[in-house]
Amino acid sequence: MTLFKLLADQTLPPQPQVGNSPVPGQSVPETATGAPAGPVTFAAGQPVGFFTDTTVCIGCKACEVACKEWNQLPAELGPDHFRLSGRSYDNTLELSGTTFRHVKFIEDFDVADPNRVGGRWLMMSDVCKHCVQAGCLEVCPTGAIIRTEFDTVYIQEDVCNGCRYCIAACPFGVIQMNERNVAGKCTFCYDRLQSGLTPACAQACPTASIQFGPISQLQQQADARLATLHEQGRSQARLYGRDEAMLGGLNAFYLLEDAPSTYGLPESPKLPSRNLGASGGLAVAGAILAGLAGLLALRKRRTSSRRESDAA
Amino acid sequence: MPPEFNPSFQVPNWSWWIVLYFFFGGITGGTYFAAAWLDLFGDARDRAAIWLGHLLTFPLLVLCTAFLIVDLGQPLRFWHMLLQSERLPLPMFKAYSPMSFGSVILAVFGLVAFVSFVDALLAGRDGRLHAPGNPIGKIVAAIGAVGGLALAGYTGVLVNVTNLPVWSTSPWLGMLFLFSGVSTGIAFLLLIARRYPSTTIEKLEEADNYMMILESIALVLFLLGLGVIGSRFILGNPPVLALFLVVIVVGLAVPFALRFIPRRPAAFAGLASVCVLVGGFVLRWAVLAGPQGVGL
Repeated sequence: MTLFKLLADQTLPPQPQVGNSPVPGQSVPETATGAPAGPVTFAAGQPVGFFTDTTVCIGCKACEVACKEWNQLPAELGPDHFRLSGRSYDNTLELSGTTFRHVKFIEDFDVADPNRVGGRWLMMSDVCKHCVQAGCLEVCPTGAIIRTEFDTVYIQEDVCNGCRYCIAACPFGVIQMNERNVAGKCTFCYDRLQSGLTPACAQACPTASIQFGPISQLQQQADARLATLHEQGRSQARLYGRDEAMLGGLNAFYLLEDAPSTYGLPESPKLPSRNLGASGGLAVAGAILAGLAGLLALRKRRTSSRRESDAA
Repeated sequence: MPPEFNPSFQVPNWSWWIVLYFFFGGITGGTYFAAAWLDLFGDARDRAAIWLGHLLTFPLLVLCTAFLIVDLGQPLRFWHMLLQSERLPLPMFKAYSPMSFGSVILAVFGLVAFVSFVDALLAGRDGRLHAPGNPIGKIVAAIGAVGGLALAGYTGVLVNVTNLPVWSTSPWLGMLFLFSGVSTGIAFLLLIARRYPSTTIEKLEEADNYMMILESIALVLFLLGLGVIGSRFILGNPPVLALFLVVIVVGLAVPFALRFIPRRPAAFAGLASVCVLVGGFVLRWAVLAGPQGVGL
């Protein structure tokens, strides 16, 4: 028997539960917010997603760190540099080609009030929305952006040629260029999904603010959580991107405590192709007008030169 | 800001290479269109201008394609827009992606422009393919004319089909860039062919005047279509506003005035063409600067 076969036959002893990692044979308890605290089962071909409950985000940035760690993403300013933005605890500032998770800190205080009565501090872990109708995927001219068997949106780096059309097309401002001069964004840990693992950010989240699972299951969890919040009198709570009305549904959808604009999210994100019919149609009309104008100019000059030669 | 304003857009940093690509793309398409229209509907006195148009178009197309390729993050993968890199030799085409559509336009129009260029180079002013009585030459000219208009206009549609303020707010950019492109193409031809027969020059000037009228209308409609977004990104942004004023004054008003001065000096005709070209360049700069800033 070869060494390889020996190693392959070895079975691992039961492991202690860490975060929401799978524990074979154990029933899955629920957390206080209704999120499963145990393993999430899913299969290829089954749409999966993130449900981010911003009401329980504590701004720890474990998701950012886990994402950088797993995806081997470099620091924005290089290994020896850091930046203090002066914007609350947010020194990441935005999603980028090398930052696939970004925790937003929204300090909603009345600066004129010295006692800060009624102030709020909202936090939200932002990520690519993996839209069911994705603007980036729609416009990509090389076929580099694909939809995976898990219904997530993935950029094939070796196909992308860095035209940057997807950056202009994304309604959420998610995509940017990375250090390899191609477009970069959240991969939804495609490699982990293929191995049956939870994406790194959801795995690391200590409050189950980022919940991962089959999209239908997440929608049920989100509806239940929203109902609970409404019962508690938090009437401003709302779901963002849960329904098909928004770009066919966002595979990364949110529970917010205020209007989307408070979180820097578009109220009504749209596909770039909404302009294709009008703009293309007007361009075709312009081409016809240009042709007619050209004909008119040639005919007019031909007639006038004939008149001039007749007169002579 | 209105509810449709998107607070979380990112700019693609389409900078000077793309401004130059859009500008030279317009000139290229417009030049071939003018030559093809003279070929199809002109007379024997226009042969010199037709020949010049065919001679100029292909080198211009190579130049503007070079601008486009240099701008890519991975220039050596430019062919991924034409062929599926993972399923060779299958073609890459998405009809609903203006950039993919534009790649096909460049390929097809490039072929036509090359054929006409070789004909102009080898057969001289009378042409062989584009000889007056050759029906195949007329078909090639007609295909090239459509391709030239498509090249001039698709860049505006491409900018419209995004999610950035200004670019995606008013759907007139395809039409505007098309008229401007044809106008700059004719102006370019006029600038080089100014010693050609006066009847040809008059025809081209007349056509350019019509294009400038149409461009003016499209520009007004584009600016009106911006609404509140325009007041923030153009009226509220003095450098961008200044660029649009240059387009209106230098690119449209001055050439009109120069062409309608009675008994004008000969230099005025050349100056008018230069102004049209400056206007065409600044128009593309102004539009791309809208959400990105004048420094691009």
